[in-house]
Amino acid sequence: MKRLIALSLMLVALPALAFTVVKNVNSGKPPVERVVIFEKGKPADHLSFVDDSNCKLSFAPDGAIECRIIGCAEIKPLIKWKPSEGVPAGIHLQDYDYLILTCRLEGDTKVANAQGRVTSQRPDNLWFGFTLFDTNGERLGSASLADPTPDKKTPDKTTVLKFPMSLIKFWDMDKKGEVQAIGFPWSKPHPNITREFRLIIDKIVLADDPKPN
Amino acid sequence: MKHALVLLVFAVALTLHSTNVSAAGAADMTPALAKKNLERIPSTDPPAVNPPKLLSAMIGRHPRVLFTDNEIDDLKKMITSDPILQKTAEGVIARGKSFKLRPDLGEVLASGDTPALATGNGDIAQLAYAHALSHNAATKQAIIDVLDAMLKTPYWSYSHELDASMGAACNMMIVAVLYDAAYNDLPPDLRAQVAQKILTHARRLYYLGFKQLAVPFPGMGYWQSDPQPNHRWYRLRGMVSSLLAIADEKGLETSFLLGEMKKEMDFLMKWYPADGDCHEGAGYQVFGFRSLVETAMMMDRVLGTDYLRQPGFKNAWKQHLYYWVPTQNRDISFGDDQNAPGVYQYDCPPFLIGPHLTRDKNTQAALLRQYRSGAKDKDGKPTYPWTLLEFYDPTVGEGDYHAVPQSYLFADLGAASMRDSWEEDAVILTFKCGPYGGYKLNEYRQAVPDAKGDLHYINVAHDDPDANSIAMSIGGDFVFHPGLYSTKKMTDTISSITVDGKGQIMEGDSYTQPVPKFDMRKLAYLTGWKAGDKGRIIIEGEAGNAYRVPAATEETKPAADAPQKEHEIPSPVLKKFRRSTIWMPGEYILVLDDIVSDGPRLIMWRGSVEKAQFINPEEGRCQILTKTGKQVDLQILGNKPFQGAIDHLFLAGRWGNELIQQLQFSIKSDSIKFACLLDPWKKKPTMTLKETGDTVTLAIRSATFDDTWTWRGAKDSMTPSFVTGTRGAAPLISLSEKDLAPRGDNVAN
Repeated sequence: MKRLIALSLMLVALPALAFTVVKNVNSGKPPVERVVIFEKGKPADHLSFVDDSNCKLSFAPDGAIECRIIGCAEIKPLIKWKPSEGVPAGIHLQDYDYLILTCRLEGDTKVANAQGRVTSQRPDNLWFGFTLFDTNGERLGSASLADPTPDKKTPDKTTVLKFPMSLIKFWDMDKKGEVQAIGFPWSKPHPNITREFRLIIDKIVLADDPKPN
Repeated sequence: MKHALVLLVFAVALTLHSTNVSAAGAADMTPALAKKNLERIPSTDPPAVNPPKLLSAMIGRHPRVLFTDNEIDDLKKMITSDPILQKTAEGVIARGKSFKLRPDLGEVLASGDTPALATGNGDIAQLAYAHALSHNAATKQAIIDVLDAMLKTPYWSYSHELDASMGAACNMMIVAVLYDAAYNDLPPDLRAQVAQKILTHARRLYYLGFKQLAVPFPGMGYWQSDPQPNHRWYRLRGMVSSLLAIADEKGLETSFLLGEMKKEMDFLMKWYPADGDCHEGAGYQVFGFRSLVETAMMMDRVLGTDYLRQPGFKNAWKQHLYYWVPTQNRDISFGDDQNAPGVYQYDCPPFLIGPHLTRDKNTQAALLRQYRSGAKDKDGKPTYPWTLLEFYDPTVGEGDYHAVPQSYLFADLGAASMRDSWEEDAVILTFKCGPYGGYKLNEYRQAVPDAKGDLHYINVAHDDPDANSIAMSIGGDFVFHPGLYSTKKMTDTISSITVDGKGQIMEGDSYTQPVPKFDMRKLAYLTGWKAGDKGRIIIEGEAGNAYRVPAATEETKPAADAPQKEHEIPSPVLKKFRRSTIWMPGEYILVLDDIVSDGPRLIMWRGSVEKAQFINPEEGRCQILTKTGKQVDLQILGNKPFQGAIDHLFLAGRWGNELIQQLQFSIKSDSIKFACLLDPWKKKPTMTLKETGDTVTLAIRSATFDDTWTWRGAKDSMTPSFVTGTRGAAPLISLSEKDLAPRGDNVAN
């Protein structure tokens, strides 16, 4: 009898079936902040810096993190954090939808031509970005500051940059680990180029898309 | 993909596009290594057996390589009556007069492929035309200066491929054509020295490159392994131009090498697709075509061969034009093409050889329209690439570009391009379901085993895992994005499907590799093709076999120390992935997917778009939005309920990244049928879907039509599905078992 019912159901025309929404990055609702790793003006005792004379990290008078990038050396400035109030231990990137970075990169490069004349230049895309590291210093993800901008320019004004985790993990899809530091590495420029930049970071947040209704 | 800068970087990228070459690419040449390389070149060539002979009319005659005096006389007549040629000639002659030799020219040209391609092949070669057209003293001196500089340059490519790189071949070509063009005006001593130097470099390229004697990386094989890499074509052009320029010089033995190059060209022509298409995409077609067609023209001119009769030469314009988006002069291409706005430059006019050969005025009109649209400087003023002198034949006449058919099936690629007009606001849809490399290359792979008896290595580095994919544009905006020059080739970035999050076999690399020990023509292929009235088309592909990567679960993942089973290819996880695309120009587009897996799997339909919105999920309604604010409504229905998502999509490209979005429709099931209705023409159609047994009925209604589509699955993996549409009692278009799509040039159906 059950077979007969099933067969008769198969022969009856079935209506069209559409979909239920499980994710919508265009819902118009802002991402939900889940972990604020750093915010200007808030306590930052859980942070520590790794830097050198070409990329000195410090807190600006207004509480922002400032990295002075000077010279023509390869740099690897690093901001590390420890678990603290609001920043739990065991943060795994795949558990979040976004890393949101509020920042700007002021400055330009000084380019010397063959005659020794020096000009200031600032290409739209400086191919400058961040890398996320685990507790062992292994890379977990990376992105360029220009990637999420509509004009593909590295921002020189304070901008809220929303990096989808799929972007950050694009090259490191299979790497899993507890994220513990964010670095801003920049390779050595051409010998006739000198950098004079100031990276200003107001906020570092991990966030999620709001759940669909 | 016509921007000069992009072209330059192509050369750099190309040198790295084989797994075999990566180590070699990093090596620097040293004096000791250079010496060691040269020592591997035999002091004499073997005796030539039945070598090709110069036409009697060409013996002792110069110029003859790029043109003859008679051809220049004809060109001069055309220049007087054709404004494009007139402006081009003025520019070329002016360039000849103004040319100033930079003191380090030889060193620069020998420093890498990019300067040799851009400065040599793209600029200096035009001095040959400047001299032939004007015979002024300044140009003659410029040529002498260049030849003198190259005489003093010991190596024409001081790189890991000593004097055997693509750059070396470009430098050989420019020296050969300048020597030939100015032959009668050169001081005898210089002429003799240059001729000897040309032969020296031809022998180096032959033995170190073609014969793969180079050290420390002999047998790299990245361009020697199959007939279609444009790297190989560039080198052949360098050899042929050199040998033809000096073949009758007393005391120079060229007959063996000329015979070898004749064999080489015969080989390339045997495996050149009849469509003259490039499986690497429209951008690389532009990059490579000139070197091949110039080689054919040179050999036909001087040796009396008839290579230009190969159908690929008369048809190559099709891929160039059908994957062209008029607005912003960009491509909408598969493969490694950045699809960015570009400029019409010196490698574009060679496609005018098509109408020159066919005398088709309408094709000529379409290609000239493409030229006028794209050949502009940064201020919008027209530019005149010098190769127009070589390829533009105004005696063909200029017909009506509107008369060029708006769709074309590329049988070798397993692809098609459809558009509703040739205007700037055209709606363009492309569809692709073919093997990596296209059919001709795979026929070669299957027919010519390698030394071990295995399938021959073929270079498919620039191909994407894109079977059963679509791309679409309106005006200059992408609706379904065609992708970038991907630095990581993944199916999940393409408008096709994934299974358990995985894409098609061999995805994931910067440069795709062929599937070992497997006939790739069985992975993905067109099943059906039907062209009906009013420009309507149904094209269908089958790609189930391309999904062979099981989800990496703890259960399926091999242990780290497990012995690797060489060349083991997983079984397909899909029994069927049939995509039927119905093109109803001016009305709507319908994409039908019939997917059957080997068990419950997460099947995800993906549409890569700039932005999307859900409008009414209960009715399957969404909207695709473009950067300039264009909107295309989309309705998707299934025979089972499914889930919908709009997510971010990151496209990593060699010349820039894109962060766009993706429509994702998914179900965990062993089968699903999706019907997707697209409304680029704002007809506001609505679709309903009913399934009765194995037949799906789709009703598509708008204010101006009331259509019914009946869709029934294919009986096997090779036969087309049954798809038929009616409007009232009138038939629209039907696909049935007899409407088999061609699969390659030589496959009868």
